[in-house]
Amino acid sequence: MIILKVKQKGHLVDIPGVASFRTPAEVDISNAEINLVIFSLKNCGIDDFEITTKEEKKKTIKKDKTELSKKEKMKEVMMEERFNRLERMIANLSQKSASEKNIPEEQITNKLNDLEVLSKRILEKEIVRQIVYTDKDKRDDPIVEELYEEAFIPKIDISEMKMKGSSTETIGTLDDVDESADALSKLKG
Amino acid sequence: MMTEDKVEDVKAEQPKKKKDKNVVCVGLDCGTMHLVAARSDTNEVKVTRNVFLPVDKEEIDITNLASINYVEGPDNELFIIGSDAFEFANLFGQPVSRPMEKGLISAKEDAAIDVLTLMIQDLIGETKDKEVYCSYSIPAEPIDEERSVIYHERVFARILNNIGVNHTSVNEAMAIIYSECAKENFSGIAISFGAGMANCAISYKGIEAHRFSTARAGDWIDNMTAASSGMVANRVTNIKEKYMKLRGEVEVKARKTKRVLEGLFYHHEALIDYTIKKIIKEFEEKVDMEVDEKIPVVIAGGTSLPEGFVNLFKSSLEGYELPFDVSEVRRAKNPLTAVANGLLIRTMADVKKQ
Repeated sequence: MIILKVKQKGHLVDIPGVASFRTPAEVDISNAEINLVIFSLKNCGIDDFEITTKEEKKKTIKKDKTELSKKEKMKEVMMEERFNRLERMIANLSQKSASEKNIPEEQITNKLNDLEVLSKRILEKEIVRQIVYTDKDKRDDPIVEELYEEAFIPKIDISEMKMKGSSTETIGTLDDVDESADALSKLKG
Repeated sequence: MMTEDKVEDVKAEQPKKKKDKNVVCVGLDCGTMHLVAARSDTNEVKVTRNVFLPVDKEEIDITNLASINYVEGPDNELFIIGSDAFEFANLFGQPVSRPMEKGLISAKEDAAIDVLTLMIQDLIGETKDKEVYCSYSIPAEPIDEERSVIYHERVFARILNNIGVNHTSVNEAMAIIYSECAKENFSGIAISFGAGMANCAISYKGIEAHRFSTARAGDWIDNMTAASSGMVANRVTNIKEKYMKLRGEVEVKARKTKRVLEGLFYHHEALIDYTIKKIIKEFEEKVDMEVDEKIPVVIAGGTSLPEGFVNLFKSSLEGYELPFDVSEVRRAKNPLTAVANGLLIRTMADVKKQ
C-alpha cells in the first residue's frame, strides 16, 4: 500500500484515481500514478508531503495483478533452470581453471556467450517483473522527480515589480460570520 | 519531493493559544470586474477593481501620477491599476486591460498574472508571521460555452501559493448559500450575476445538488448595448453604474445616455429571462433530488445592483412553472460582498473542523 501524507493544511486535493480530500490528510494512493500524484499536489501549491509504503500491507496486493499464467510460469521456470545450469557450469569451469591449466579458453567463452544470449532473451520477453518497493528509501527515486514538468505553467515573478499606493477600498462590514461558520462546521460534521 | 518535519516540530513547541492567534481566515472573491476580500481578523471587506491600464512610461510624466495607484514592471512597463485604470481609460475612450474575461483568467493579457498577484497581495493584506487560510471563488463550468475552469482555478492557486497563503477553491454560488442561507440550514438556490458569468448553485442542507454557469452576465449586457449604441463597452458600464435603474424614472437628460439606458433595460430583461430558463432546464434534467420544503432564491453579484433588479427577476419568474417551490426571492444583504463573506464562512468552518 502506498500512502500519501500531506501536512500542509487547507487544500482541497483532486488526484485522478483517488477520491478528493482536504488536507492535512493521509490517503492510500496505491491505485494512482505516482507522477500524477506529485503533479496534482504541486499544482495545488503543496510542496510539503511524504510518500511511503506500508510493508505489512504488502501481502494484500491482488493476485491477478502479479500472478502469471501457467504457460508463462512454465516458461519462467525453464528459463530459470537453464540460467542456473549455466551458472553452475561456469562456476565449475572457473574452479577447474584454478586447479587445471588445460581447460580451453574457447569452452569458457562459449558458455559465457550462452549466458549472455539467455539473459537477453529473458529481458526481451519481459519476464523480469516490476519491482515493488517496500521501503521509503527506495521510493525516493529521483527519476520520479524528473517526470514532473511544470515549464508550461506561467511563472509568477513579482520580485522586480513595485506597487505604488493601494487600489483597495472598503465596501462593507462582516456580520454573523462566526455564527454561520459554526453552523456550517456542525452541518458538515 | 519528500518532507522534513522541522517546520511542524517548531510549531508544535509553541503554546496552542499563541498559534491560534496567528491563524487568519480569508474569503477571496475572484470576480471579472472586482476582487473582494474578507478577513477574519478585521471587520472590513475590501475591494479592488480587477482592471489595469498599461501606459508607456516614456510618454507619461511619472510626477503626474502622484495620486494614482500603479505597478512598475522591470522592462519600463507601467500599469495603472484598479479604479484609477478605469477612470483613465474612460477619459481617453480606450478599453482597459482585464486579467479576467467572462469569469475566467484571460489568455490575452501577458502581464495579467503578475499584476493580478500584486493586486491580490495588496487586497489580502498583511500575512507575515500568520498562518493564512483562504477559500477563493471559482465559477462552475458554463453550460452555454465550451470553456474549462481548470486553468483559471490552478492559476489562482499558484498566485496564492506565491504569496504564501494556504488555499482551497470553492464554487462562487455556493459561497452565497454559505453567506445568506444559514437560517434555511444552507438550503436554497443562489445566483451570482457577475460581470463575466451568471453562476448558479442548488444546495440542500449545505450539500451542493447542482451547479452551473452561463456565459451571459453584466459584460454581455454592456457589450450588446455598446454594439447597439456604437459606444466603447466601458463607457456603457460607466453609464450603467451611474444611472441605471430597472424601475421608476431615470433622471437623465442627454438623449444618447437615455438610449443607452433603454438598451441596458432590454438586455437586463433578456439576461434574467435567459437565466431563469436555464435554471429550470438544469433543475429538471440534472437535479436528482426531491425537495419537499420551499427554498429561497438568493441573488447577488454586481450585475444585480441596479434598483429594481430583484423585482424584475420576481416578475419574470412568475411567468414560469417551476420544478421547485420558492419561499422567497431576495437579494443578498450586500450583493458585492456576499461571495467573499460566504467564502470566509467556509474557510472558518473548515479551520474549525481541523
